[in-house]
Amino acid sequence: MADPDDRLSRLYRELPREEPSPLLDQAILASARRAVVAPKRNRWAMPVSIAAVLALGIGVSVRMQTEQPGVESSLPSSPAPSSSSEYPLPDTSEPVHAEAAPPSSAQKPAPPAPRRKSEMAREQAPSAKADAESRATQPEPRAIPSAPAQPRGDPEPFAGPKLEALDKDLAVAPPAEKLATAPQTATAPAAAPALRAKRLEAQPQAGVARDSAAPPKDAREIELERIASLRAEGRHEEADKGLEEFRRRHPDYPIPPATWEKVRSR
Amino acid sequence: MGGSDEELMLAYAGGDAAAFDALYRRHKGPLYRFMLRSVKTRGEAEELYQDVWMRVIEARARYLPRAKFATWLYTVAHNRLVDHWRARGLAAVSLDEDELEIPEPAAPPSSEPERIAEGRQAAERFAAALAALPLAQREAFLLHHEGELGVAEIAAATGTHAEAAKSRLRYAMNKLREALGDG
Repeated sequence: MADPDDRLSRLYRELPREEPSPLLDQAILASARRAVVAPKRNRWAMPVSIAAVLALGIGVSVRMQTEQPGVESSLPSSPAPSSSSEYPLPDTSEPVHAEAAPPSSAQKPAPPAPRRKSEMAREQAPSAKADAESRATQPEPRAIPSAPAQPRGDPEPFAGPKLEALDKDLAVAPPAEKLATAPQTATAPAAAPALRAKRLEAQPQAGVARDSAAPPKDAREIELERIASLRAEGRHEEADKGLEEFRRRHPDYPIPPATWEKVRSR
Repeated sequence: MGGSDEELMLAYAGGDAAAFDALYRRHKGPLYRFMLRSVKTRGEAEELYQDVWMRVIEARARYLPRAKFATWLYTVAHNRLVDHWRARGLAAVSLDEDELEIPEPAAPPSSEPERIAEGRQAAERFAAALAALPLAQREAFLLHHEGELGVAEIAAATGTHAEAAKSRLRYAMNKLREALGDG
């Protein structure tokens, strides 16, 4: 007679030999593969991501250090024109009211020629290259002098003297002083771009909000400064014409006494 | 792919997915049948079976070849079964002494067709008797016959001492023999 345990084992082996379904097999094997493959991918993904973020951060930091301080913070508050024709500065033939500007708003005259503009840019920015990059997407004072004519085609024969006078009266920063001593050889077509450049460059230093809020008033002040500079140089005929034009365009504008002393007919 | 179960598991823990494939092929049938005969339905068995392999996969880094891989595998399976039983208000050990309703043994066969019929009936009675065993005894029997574990390994896999494991296995065999009319 067979061993009872053997008989039990034989009976058990005669039971159906069920197996898991192929789908279940595939699911389990796929999970097993994913478990050992995924960590390898993640092991590289994390260091690469960290390295990329660090490289990006360092690159941006280095670049920011080469930027001119204050350019990023001051430019967004300005009207941000993209070209000389879009800049909202009024016609350069309009007179200006110099006394209305606060003493802190040190305005620098824009050079009438591209050469002077480049010099000014080098003096103001620690890096000429960074300066160019930072201004590429902002109001572009450097590009303005290269414009051959005024936006509105309004001839302005007093551009050079006007700039000189503005330098004397308003400039407080070293770059502006240097510009004030530069030769005044600007021609009339360069006057409007120069004014725009001057105003743009004055904004980062002071009076940004005020300038952007009331550009027509600035234009009158600047025009009066220009007339005053003509008067100071003894070019009374041109100053008279400028004053007459100013009165014609702004008959109601109250010229402060101090300014009037500078611009009145001799 | 060759190598012992333990080597394959260590290789898999080291990232060799093919090692797991080989290990799975070796143990999938016995483990599946162990689960299938430990619960009532095929759906439950498949769910538990998949859970056990998922636990093996998740625990691969903690695996230490201190015992046979099969012992470790069925330890995982036992723990999963205990969770399953607890969720249904059952306890494996408390059912140890449950009485088994043993079918009456059939009369001895007198001819070949009758012998064949008797064999079929014996298999059916055996299956019914196995299904009727208390949980712990049935588990011990299945671990012995499907997992090919010895008494000590059954004790290790079920978290009990060797005497208790031996007792459960003996009870199970006796009851099955009685059900077949061999007792």
